[in-house]
Amino acid sequence: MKFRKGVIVALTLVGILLIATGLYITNMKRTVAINTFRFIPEKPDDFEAVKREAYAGTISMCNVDEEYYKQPEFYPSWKNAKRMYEEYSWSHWGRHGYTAFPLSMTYDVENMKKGDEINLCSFFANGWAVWTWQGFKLKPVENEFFSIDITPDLFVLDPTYPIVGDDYIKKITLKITAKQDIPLGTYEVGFTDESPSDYFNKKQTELTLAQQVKDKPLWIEKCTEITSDKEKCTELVNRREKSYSVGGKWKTENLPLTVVINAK
Amino acid sequence: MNRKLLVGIMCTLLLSMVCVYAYDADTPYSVTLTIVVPSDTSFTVSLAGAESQIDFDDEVTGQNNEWVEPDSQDNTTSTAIIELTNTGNVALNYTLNVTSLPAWAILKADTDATMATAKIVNDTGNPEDCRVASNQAAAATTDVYLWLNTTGADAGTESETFQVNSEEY
Repeated sequence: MKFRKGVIVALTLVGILLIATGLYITNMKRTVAINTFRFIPEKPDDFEAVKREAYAGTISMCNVDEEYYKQPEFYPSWKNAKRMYEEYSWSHWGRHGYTAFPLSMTYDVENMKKGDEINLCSFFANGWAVWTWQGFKLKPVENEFFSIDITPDLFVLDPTYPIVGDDYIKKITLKITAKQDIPLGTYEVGFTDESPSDYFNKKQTELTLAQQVKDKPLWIEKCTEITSDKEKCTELVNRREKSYSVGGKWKTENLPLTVVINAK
Repeated sequence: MNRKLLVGIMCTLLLSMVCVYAYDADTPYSVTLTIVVPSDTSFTVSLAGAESQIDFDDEVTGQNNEWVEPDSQDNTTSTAIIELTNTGNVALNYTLNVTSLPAWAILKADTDATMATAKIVNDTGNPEDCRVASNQAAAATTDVYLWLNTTGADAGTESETFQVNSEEY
């Protein structure tokens, strides 16, 4: 009798386990997968080696190609930003912000004369998990000793959510030219971010509205999977898509790039 | 002979002129990249719901008392109008300011949903007047709630620029 009871209990437990496993697998299959990083180039085998040398300053950022610098892992901020993608909250949507790297570079120069140049590069990206196309104007921070040419200095960055766009980041080239013979000392130059002109913003708003959005049903499905409210999700996605925002309004006190020049 | 001498003098003069504009071995122009600072102060500003700006409209929010919340903010459900996420790798402080305000308006902000203890955001141009968060760790998110006192407000639409400034802690 006891043996029979034991068999029944064991069979019941096995049944419960099978049902639970079945439910788990069914739910796993239903998980909506958005290929957020499909426009990011394949990561090169020597990515870590190139990153190491770029961080050490032994190779110029100008020599880092796009298959390297378009990898989110190239940036120190990605370690923290990754969470925003893994645990995305649909209550709020990213509209502003940027990622700039490196924050600061230091150059030692000797005997720098009028007309001598320093050429360098940095990277400027839309903020992580930002839905909007964001327009930026980069303005040189110069002084009486140095002039700066920035290329490009006016651009729009693709969104970084739900899809990281191909053009979410720009390589920025700076040509720093000595306006006069440089006396011994330490000088700081760089660039800051500002809002583009009203005309530019108006034009870009029109262009953004003309964008083709193919994944909208998938976004709504993903949102519904998390919030269980399809109606709300449809409204959110419809109101969030194809949005242009004006950059340069939400600032950090640090410049996006500071170049320290030590003239010896 | 004289011709050779003349050519020699001219070559010497030419070389001297070139030397004026070139660097010699003792004083070359040199440039060395010494440091790349692997830190950044990246941040993302998120707005509640699908708001593209901060709108105080008491008909939309259904509030008729003197303090109104912006659209999509609901302090009863702890939904702040702004989320500030520090995606960089250094701790940040945040200050708020507004470029100008109508005489009747009082704007308050806080990182929790309690309006009574919120700080006034003013248009003095000194962002230190409203520091809402200090030492926000990398990867952390801070909510910012806003309230506007509309007592004595004139009918119509006012549009002001609201700014969030962050600085390295």
